[in-house]
Amino acid sequence: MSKLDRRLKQSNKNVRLADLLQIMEVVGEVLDHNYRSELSAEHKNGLIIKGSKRFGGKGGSITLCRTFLEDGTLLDSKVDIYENNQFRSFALSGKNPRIVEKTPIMGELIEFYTRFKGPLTRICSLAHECHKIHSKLYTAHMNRKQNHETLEMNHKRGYN
Amino acid sequence: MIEINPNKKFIPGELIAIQDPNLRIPAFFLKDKKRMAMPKEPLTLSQYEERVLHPNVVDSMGHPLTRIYFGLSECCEECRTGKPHFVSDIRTFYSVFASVEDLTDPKEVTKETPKEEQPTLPFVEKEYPKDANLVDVADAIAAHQEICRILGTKSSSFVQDLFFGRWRFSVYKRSPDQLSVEEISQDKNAIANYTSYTTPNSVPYENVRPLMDYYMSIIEDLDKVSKYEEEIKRLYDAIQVERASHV
Repeated sequence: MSKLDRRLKQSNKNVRLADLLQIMEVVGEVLDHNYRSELSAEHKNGLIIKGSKRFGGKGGSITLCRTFLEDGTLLDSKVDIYENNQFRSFALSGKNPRIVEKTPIMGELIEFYTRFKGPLTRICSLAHECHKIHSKLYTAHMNRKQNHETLEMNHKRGYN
Repeated sequence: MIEINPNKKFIPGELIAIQDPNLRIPAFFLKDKKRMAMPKEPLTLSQYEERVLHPNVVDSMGHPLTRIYFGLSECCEECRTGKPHFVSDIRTFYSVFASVEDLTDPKEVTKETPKEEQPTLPFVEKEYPKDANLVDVADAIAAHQEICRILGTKSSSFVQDLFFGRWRFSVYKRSPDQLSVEEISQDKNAIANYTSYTTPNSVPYENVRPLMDYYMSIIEDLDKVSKYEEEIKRLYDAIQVERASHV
């Protein structure tokens, strides 16, 4: 059993925020397994892409928002929790409490993660591989397009 | 893959003066994005993976040269100031290396590499079929559309433009088994030359070679993605079923 698993099992009242983010990173791939939406967003935002994953349960939701650089490097992660008409946001880079009180929606998320940990982790790893390939294809695609545009410009100027 | 002797050495001292007869391109060899290879610095072309935009070239120490950049003289500000600014395509790469071969001082090469070790044919061109079946071309186009889908590029379902160097393929998918390719050749004396092909005809391979080369370079990646996606979907469905049954 990993340290994370042990902590999740032992803690009834509190959850480490870092653990919550880690779980959401894994669960998020399943909740929105159309991970390509992140690359679609890339076109809209230019250099920075954003992707959000939401875990919805009874009377609440947990959303993971991630910001990436164009090359796929993770810039920032934050978790938004909406429960009992209350909205809380915890950014990885911000000043947050290390431990937060475990709410019903968090319990639901942890239960889901614990139960499907095997396939969830596998999906996460596969999605990561796909992501790497997509990034490579994207770079080649953009380079080729730029190459063509330069040649087209040269042609217009009379250089063949 | 192109067969190249890993010990073949090139002296790029005259490279800046080298002109490709067709494209008038001076070539710049870079150690990395910031440092240009120094004149007379020996380079070893140990392996050249046939990928249009990612030629893998290493120097004599085995360090990779990340890119080969070209500047078209007088074409733009970067060219005028001698700044390398875009990556070669495979044909340009061929022609420039052929020039390097011709213009390299044989004495210098002998100094670095014993003559008996030098290959007689450093570049072996891939043999291409005479014609390509349009079904294969359609596969290549579908692969391109798959890339657009992956990248979230919006494209009309009726017409799709594909850009390959000097070529623009305008593809009209009229019905699943009927496809026409309009190839636009940007000739100096003409705005565009159009050639149309419709299934079940074949198309001269030379006319679709850039497209087919591109297809061959990405097909393995696409197969991988497809395999991974299938497994993701299977696992995802299994989780959903299990979850539903539990509720």
